[in-house]
Amino acid sequence: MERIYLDYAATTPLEPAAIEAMLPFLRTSFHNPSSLYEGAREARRAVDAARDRIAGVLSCHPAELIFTSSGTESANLAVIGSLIAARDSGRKKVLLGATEHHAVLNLTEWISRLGFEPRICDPRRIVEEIDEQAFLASVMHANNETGEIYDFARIGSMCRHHGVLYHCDAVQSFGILPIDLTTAPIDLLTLSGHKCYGPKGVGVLYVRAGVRLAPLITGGGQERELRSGTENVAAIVGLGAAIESTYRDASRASRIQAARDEFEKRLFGGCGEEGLPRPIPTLGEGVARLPQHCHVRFPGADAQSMLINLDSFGVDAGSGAACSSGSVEPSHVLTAMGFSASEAKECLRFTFGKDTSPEAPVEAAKRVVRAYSAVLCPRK
Amino acid sequence: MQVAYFDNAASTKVDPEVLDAMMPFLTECYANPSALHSMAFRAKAAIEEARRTLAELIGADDPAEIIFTSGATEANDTVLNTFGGRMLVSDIEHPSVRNPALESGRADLIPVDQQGTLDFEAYERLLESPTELVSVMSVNNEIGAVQDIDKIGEMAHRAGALFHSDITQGVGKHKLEVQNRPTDYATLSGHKFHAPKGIGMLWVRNGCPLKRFMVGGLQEGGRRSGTLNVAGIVGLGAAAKIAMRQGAVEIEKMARQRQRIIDAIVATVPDVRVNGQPDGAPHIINLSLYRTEGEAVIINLDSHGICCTAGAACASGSGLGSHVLNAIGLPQEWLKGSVRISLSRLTTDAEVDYLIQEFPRAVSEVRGLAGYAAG
Repeated sequence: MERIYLDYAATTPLEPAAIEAMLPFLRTSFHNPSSLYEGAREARRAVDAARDRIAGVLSCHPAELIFTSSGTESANLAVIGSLIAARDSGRKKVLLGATEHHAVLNLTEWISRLGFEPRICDPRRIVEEIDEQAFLASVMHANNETGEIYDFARIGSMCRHHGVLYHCDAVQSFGILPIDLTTAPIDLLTLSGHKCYGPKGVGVLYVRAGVRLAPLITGGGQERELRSGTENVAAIVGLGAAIESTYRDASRASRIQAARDEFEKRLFGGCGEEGLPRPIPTLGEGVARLPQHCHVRFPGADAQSMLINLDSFGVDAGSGAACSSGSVEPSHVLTAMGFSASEAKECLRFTFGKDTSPEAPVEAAKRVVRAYSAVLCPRK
Repeated sequence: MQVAYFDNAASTKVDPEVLDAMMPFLTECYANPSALHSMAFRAKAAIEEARRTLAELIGADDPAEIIFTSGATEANDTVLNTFGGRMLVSDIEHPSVRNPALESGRADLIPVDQQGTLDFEAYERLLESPTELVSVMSVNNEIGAVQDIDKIGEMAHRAGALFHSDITQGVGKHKLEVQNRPTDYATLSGHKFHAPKGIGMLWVRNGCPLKRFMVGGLQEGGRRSGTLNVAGIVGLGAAAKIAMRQGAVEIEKMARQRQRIIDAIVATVPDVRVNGQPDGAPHIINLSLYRTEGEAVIINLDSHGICCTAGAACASGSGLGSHVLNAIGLPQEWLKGSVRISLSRLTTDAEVDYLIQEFPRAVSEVRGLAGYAAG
């Protein structure tokens, strides 16, 4: 039985071209890019080339990009780093979307310690809260659990109008939805390598020229003093190569969406044929969502039992964010959207990627129907 | 052209065995280890195995005391940021300890003597004021000075302070042991002992405080968030295994090569001094060339395929004099002529021969161009 991987939102496989690009830097070109000799300068050039490449797809200046160890670190640095740099600001309100990733949402305590006032807002209505008292707002481009897309242009314009810094976590959308930073009113943008076919252990933070930021990690002064620590050369190179090869695949988003749509059609149809309750999409009609996300509630079926069954049927899927898969708490995203705790624990996430085979949706839907049936009617 | 790599204190070659161990996690086993499916469980199992190996490497009983980080810099910052009170750090600490300490405004520097050994009298006096944390590295990255961290830790404990040691440069260079020693925090970085860049470790003794630094998905028991760098962690574990296997023979080999280089350079190059302790770490040599531009020597050596560095790599090209060489009181006319030659267990005798042959030539060429006149 061939396994079907439908957990692309948790992590993506590393692009073969990225591994190829990384290997020389794990074999012969292992030098510290801060040294002065030729081998080290080669490593430095490779880091710069990756930076240029990423700047190219975002339409920003390479010097506006900082490499970090993860999306989590980038988001921490964006929010906390800009608050530390502005401790004397008269503006104290920090607006956080209620469905932000924990890398943002769990910062409330730290934000308070710095003398600011964190406020959790409905991301769909956050523009109503943006005013002259706010210093920073953080609303993600697209949610990692449900795939819901938020309108960064509208949020960002409102922020700009009121002189508020805008941080956008684009970890989940990057590589699928385009962002053009020449027009997008975004001041700080967070990206993660392993969500866009690059390696784990590398993230990116875009800091618009002129935005003040204090480092969280100090030391050797790498990354223009904003992020110390020897550069993870191989991973940075891998990320650059992954992005280049992903962007060359122009039909990826439409292919992914076709696979997801086919899966949903088969899943809903299959449940009907088996006499099972119809799975309910967590996002209502008309809500913009990522082409790779299918997030549904299986009435009466506990997500953990579903995942165990799916695993034995050869489907890798997720419930909520991968980081908290083992958690007993219901998803904060779903509770913020008004789901009860028990409803939230019946939700599963199937996420598709550019390597999903054309046959996978049909076969995966069959297996999910079987798992649902096994969970609801164990003796059948 | 022959090549010789003598910048192992800046970064080491990834051991091919380490890369082999990593490859499955860069290819077919790519799952997020926090997910709930078979591939994720395999990744998670590999991480826990690496954690046990790391615990064994540093001589800790409980693998749960180990937290994986993106490197020693992050790990050091995490320890330093945990403390809200007064700290003491040695004057020759790596910038990832020294800078956060100084920026906190609550730290005092412990001086060292002319060889880089901690000044215990000064340390004793500094401990008279209430102190929360003492941080002293086991082996200095620029001059290879080795510290008596057991004694330093004991004194810290007697004064009611906790003790952190950055052991980055000590891995694979001497036997490590934290469990029954007066150390409370230990930090290290993978790429200094043949693991890849981008991975490090923080060991924190059970019961000692640790402020959450990276905040998010609550990985690493809530102590360090961010998707785990599976391949990097597996690589770190593989490198730890090799470091334990190598033992005394390879350490002696490095020490012997080090002595050969020092003896040859002192015999062939006029107006040179060796900084640090005569019996310092087996892999670091720090030389000063009187009234000679160290960087020019390095560039000359580079054009002949030899890699080494002036001071620490991170500060290369910064134009600031080394804080370590200032701390040991190196006179001004020796300061700019600093060259660091650092070895690893992969350094060959052929590389050593080549360095010994080329170094005097490079120095005399640089001095010739500058119209050098000895004092």
